[in-house]
Amino acid sequence: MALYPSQEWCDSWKKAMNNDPACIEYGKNWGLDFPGDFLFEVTPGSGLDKTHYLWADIKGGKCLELKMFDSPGEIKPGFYVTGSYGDFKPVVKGEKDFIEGVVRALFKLKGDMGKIMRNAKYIRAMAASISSFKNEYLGE
Amino acid sequence: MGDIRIIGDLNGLGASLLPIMEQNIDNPELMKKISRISGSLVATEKSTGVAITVIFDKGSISLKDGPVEKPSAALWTDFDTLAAYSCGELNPIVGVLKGRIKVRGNLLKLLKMVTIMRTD
Repeated sequence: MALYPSQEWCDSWKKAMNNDPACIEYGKNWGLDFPGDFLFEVTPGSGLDKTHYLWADIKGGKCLELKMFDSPGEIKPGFYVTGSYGDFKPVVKGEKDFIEGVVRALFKLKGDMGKIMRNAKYIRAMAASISSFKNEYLGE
Repeated sequence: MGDIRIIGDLNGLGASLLPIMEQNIDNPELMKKISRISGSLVATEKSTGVAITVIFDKGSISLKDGPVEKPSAALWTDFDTLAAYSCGELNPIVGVLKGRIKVRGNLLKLLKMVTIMRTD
């Protein structure tokens, strides 16, 4: 089991996304003519002591790269998601829905919202793939 | 880009729809259709109960967190249906007839007002 967050966990999520038929099907047009990468800013709390950044480079339904950083550096992602570790944890566990978190403003999502709306099925599939494998968590 | 007046802090539903609405107010054809409307539209995401109100005042548009007491029209739907509507995949009348969108109030006004949330 990988620890969330860690590079090992990033590798597991990348593998899960790339093997998920829904991600492949609904994401086939994602990021082809626009920057489809996501930068997740996970803020401290619930066992996480400092902010972590997870960057997922996604194109055409495939995750090309998924990396963890201490600082976002020069990355200018197509989509920027901010949320606390305490709010991300139930999503990673599959207990809470990511989109519901966005609607409730637990997560701030910045980027071309037209693309998000047009690809809502892909966003849902991508979020579902995050809970398709078992993990360990900080603070538990 | 035109301006949409934001009243209070926006919830996630409002923040998701705001960029689409901002894009739309730069569309002269669409604005011509809605510039004579006065009234308010409450949109509620039914799984969370999170609501926004869009207030139309003869060409000026405001977006408010939460519902107002007596809107001209109101709709209830889930995020996926709202997404399908907003990107032009779902005809709102079909959505209503299939029960995916529940509506109340002045339906004709609602159909005009809701175009501010649609990007085709």
